[in-house]
Amino acid sequence: MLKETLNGLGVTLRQMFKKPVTVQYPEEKPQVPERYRGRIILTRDPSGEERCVACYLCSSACPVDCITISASEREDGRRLPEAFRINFNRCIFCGLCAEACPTLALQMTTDFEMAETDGRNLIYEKEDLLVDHGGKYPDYSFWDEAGVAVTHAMGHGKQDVPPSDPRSNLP
Amino acid sequence: MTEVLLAAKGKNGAPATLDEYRSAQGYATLERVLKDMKPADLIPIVKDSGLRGRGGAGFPSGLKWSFVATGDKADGGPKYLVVNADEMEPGTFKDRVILESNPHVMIEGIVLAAYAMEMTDGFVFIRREYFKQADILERAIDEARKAGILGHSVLGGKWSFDIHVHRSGGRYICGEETALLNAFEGRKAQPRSKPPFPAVRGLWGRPTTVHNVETLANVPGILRNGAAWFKGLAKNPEGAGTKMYGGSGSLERPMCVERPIGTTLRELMAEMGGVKGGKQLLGVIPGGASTAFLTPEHLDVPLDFDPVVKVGSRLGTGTFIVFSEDDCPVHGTLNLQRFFARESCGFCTPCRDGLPFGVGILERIEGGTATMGDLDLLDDLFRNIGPNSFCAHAAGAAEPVRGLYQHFRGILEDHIHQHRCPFPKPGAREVTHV
Amino acid sequence: MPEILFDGRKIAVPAGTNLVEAGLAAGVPVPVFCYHKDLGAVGSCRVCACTIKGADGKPPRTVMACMTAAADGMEVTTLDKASVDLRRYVVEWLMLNHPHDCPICDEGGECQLQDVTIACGHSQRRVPTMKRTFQNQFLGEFIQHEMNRCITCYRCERFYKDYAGGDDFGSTGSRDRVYFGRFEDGPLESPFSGNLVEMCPTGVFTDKLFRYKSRVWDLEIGHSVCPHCSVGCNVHPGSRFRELQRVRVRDNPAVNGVFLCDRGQFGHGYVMDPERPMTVRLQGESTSWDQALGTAGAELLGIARHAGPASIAFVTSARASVETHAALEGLAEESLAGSRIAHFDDPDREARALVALQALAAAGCPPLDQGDLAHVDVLLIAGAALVNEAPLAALAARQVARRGGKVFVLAPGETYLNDVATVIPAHPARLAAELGTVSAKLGDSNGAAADDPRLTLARALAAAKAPGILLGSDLVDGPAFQAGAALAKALAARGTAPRFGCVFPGPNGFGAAAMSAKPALPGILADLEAGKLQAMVLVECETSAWTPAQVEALKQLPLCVVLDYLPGPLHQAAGMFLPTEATYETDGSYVNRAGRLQAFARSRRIGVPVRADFQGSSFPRDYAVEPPLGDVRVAWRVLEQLRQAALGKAEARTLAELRAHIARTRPGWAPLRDIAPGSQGAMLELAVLAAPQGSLAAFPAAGSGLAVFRIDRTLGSEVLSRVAAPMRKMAGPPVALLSPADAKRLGIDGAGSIGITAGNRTVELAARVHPAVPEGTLLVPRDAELPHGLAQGAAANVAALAGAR
Repeated sequence: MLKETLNGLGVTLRQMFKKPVTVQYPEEKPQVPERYRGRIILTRDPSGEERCVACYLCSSACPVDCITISASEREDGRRLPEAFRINFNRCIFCGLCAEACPTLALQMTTDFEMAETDGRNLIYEKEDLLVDHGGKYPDYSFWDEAGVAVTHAMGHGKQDVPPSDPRSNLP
Repeated sequence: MTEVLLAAKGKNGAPATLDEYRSAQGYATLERVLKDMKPADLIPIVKDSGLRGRGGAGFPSGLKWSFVATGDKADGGPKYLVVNADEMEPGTFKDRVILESNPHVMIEGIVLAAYAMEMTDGFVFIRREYFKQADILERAIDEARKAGILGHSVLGGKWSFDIHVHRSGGRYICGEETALLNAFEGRKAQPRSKPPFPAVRGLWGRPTTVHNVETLANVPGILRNGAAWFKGLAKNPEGAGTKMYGGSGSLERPMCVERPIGTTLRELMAEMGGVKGGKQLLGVIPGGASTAFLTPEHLDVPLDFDPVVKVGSRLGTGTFIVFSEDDCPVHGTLNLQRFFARESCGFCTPCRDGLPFGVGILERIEGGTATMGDLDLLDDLFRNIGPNSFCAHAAGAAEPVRGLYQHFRGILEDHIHQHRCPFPKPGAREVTHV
Repeated sequence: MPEILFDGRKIAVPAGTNLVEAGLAAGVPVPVFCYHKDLGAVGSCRVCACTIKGADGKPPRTVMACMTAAADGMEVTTLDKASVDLRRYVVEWLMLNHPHDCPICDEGGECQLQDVTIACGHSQRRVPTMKRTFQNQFLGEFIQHEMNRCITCYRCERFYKDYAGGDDFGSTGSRDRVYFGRFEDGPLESPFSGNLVEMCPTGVFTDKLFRYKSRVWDLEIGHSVCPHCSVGCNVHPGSRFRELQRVRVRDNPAVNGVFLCDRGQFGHGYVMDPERPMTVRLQGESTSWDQALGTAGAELLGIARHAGPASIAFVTSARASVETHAALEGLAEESLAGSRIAHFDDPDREARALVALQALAAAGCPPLDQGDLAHVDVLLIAGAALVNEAPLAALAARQVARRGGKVFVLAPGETYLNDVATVIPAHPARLAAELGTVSAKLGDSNGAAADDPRLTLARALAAAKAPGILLGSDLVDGPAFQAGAALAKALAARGTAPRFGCVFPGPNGFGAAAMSAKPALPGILADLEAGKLQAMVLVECETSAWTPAQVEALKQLPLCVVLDYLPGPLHQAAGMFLPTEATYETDGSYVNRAGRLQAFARSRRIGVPVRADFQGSSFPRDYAVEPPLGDVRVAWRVLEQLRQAALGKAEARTLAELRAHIARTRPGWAPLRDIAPGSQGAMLELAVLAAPQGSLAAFPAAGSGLAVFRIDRTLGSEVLSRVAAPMRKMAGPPVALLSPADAKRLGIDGAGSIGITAGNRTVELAARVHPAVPEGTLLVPRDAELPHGLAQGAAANVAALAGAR
């Protein structure tokens, strides 16, 4: 019994001379990995337009139903969320929404400092979520790849050949 | 063999006129048959003659005729004979030669066949680009009509029959039997599902037989000289009659000649001056674009339907395309695939979208950007396209790729290992949307 | 019955069943694109590959399930390598040109292509080629066109041209550039164009009214019944955030199958109409339900006590549910006993519906319901251009002809069945005589060749195994109803199995007629005009068929209670307005034109939709249990509560209690007890139903001027669907139809403007010449204004107006 006690004390003694791992947060900020799942943002494509097309895939993927979207169509045919709300009171930062996002609009950041004293302040609207950059994927633009004539004339997207003439009998 | 049965020309190489054709015993057979024979007597003769469809499939003609209900079994309504002169197969130009030299032999064949099947109207569906040939044909039909061979009461008998010429809208798929019928009716040229076969429900829902020009041009000879004579014409024991053989590609003298069926490739190529520039022979596509490659080892195969099938290809239209050692078979195949993809009617998925996919892979191979995986994909792709498309178009398109894979695997691999086309005449490297 | 082994499951299927249907019977859904059970198999997509091994000992081969009939002893597998590989390739090929736009495609979530692509495991384009594109077309207010998504299954063309008989849409082009569209941009002309949305296995044709609104999985969907005509098609209305966003078909093989007309699919705009009254109002002021119901109850009692119950009238219409009709009757009890009840809001349509019900009973044969049209071999449509009054019945009639049956139309103004039917444009006033002629000629089988189409018709009916007779509504007079029933009887007497049907006004015309004992509205309206009424309760009614004097008298009534969900003159005129829930927002039931009782259930929670309730630019941040303006009640419940208030009942009856009451007290209504939404419905028994009294006069014989007949239009004349702007735009302004002979006499060439004069009033109307309109008649859409008091079929002076359009 004495042996076990001494063993235990020995461990304690050894730790006393090691460098502590405790970070003095908030004075000292922790190094968070780039792919950390923190506060959610809505990014913009290279042209500075909102990337989100209000496809509802994030809200469907969300296991806690904290995303609420209402889609709308802009005059130029661009599909946009007229309202986009994330209730961070409910959010569990699982990242399924970012995984589901087909346009790379919804991304997760390394920011985790979101504490509020009033829960209502944790309900983020679109203007709270929108950022002015492309996040981790600065070069991707969904509308250039989609085969829909919104950011370009029909048939002039990155993967498209110009429209064929349905009247022509020529192949 | 010097006697020209099918493509005897008139004076100065002009198309034979009615008088010229008559002076060579033309329409004598028709007169005799209409006077002495009942329609039902004709079919056994054609059956015995062993005549097979010259359009590419080689279906026994007598059998085809017997599918049409005649006599008491017929319902008394109109029945149609449709002549497929939509000769759009790449490398094929045999029907043109017949139309240009001796249109009356075909007309007589049409009338005889129509008489055998008790048909009421004949229609010639002619390729759009055959302006001149259509004019020749129309002139010949006019001559025949004035001579009482066509129109009300053929040669003064009880039976009436006329021939009408219809110029195609100009799509390869119109050559497909049932797509041709749809095109005739003013619909989209898309194949119909079989059954019902045209012999039961064809043009405008009536019993119809569709024949190639060359097949019908053989009929007067058979009925004039008998089945045994026709069989005796062939060089190989199982063959029957003669065939319009054509050669194109890297040949010294590309041409179309009429020779006994069963003549070998070696004999025909010798007649056409051999491979251009004395080069080595690399391979041959034996019968239009939709047949698989043959190689020099097959030079002595009799060019008849069954022997060519035995060596893994098809006789097709009997018009071969020659590749010399300087011609890239991959590029040749790519060129053909572009044609097939472009000429798909757009009805079924394997053909409409599968063929352009094949073109994409071939472009990568020819362009030198492909991997070995693409080779397997190409092979697997066409194995899935061929048997699973709606009509024979994509199946035909799969044939040259199959031959390419079978005989020129080494050349395909060279393309990949060298990251370019190893042939002196590099193919189109640009990647296009077909 | 061939027995086959399908993926190891032994099943027996009827001979001739293809392997897709056999697979469904075995519980194996074979993926399909081009195959559709109503359009048949064409074998173009090649995705339904399976491998069969016949009993004949031939080696197994891969075939297309849709093109292969099950044969006895056949072994089918969908899981062998050859079939799986081919299906995977087919998806890969289809994906070569399919755009990368699923996130913004409204089909996403109910896209067959999406499902099959994922099921086949395709996720990567192995050889990325460039994608072909097309220009899209403007196809009208209902259908959005996005051709890049097309997978060329030809379903749209097969439906639009072959099944629905449209001729302004088709395919052009070849290879991988086949294009499906119109010759030029413009609204699709077929009244069944909406089915393209359902037919397309991917997102080429989507619902424009639903564009960019929601994902389908977010929709609240209930089983409902279309309220736009008497066919009673089954629908799935979908709503989200209290907004009704779309209406889709619900497959009910006994009624509509998988088809809807554009009126039913796109006519739902009235539900979300911004003008729709949603508040309880008393003398122009908003008030509470309790206050209003208490006031109304007390006043009703007071009036009954002082002026007698006969001075109180309760009126509803054919668009009210069975339960509403019953609850209305419940008001005329105890101290209110003796007050008057009308189940229709239009005297002409009331008489028409009652006589139609009498005719159905008199015919003595089973009714001709929508589903029964699939078994009819000779169909006679009399007194209606069917596509106007019951569009889906016209679509089914076209299928009778497509199956090889014969269709005859004995009516003026046919526009839809011309190409498949023998059309005899009979003058409505002569319809009874025409039907009598047909009856008389049934036995005339050995005459000369029938030059007279009536003789052809009689012979066809006499030779038919399952003849069907379908009478319209507006263009049929009393004698014609009787003649139609007599014809059915005569056919039955000849040993055939005829079916006889009528079209009713409104979605519940049959139910309203079956609730009526005799025509009641003419008396009520006469008394109203004569000032003998003190109170009226109008439930979901129109006054468009009333005279101006009657409408004026209504406004002067001491008590006028209006229950409705439409804005309009009544809403303005009412002393008390009680907002009610529309069909898609509530539970209830309708009886369709053949007596099929069908229940519907709520699919939209009423209240101001979230989108209209935004705070700033986003969803409201305040939470409330009750949505704003959410206290709108279903009409039968309001009536029950009124009964509670007026008669001092302890409790309002529930839906089940109300239904049980009807089933108990009315003969023939027993099926109401067990009716459930989402079923095939249940038939009321014609033989047991109490037939109403009433009669309908013959149309007046030809007089001076043209006989004017009000008719429906497929789009634009029906009261609910015409509320929304897209529908009005697609329908266009009303145009009267007149015969070539009359047009010539009036000096109208093709189309022009006419003035219709009756009494001392003239109205102006656009008019068009129609070859199938008999001389002496003028067909006027119901939504056009006509001189008041002009009875159906009465003569009016018609003159061409200068400055013709």
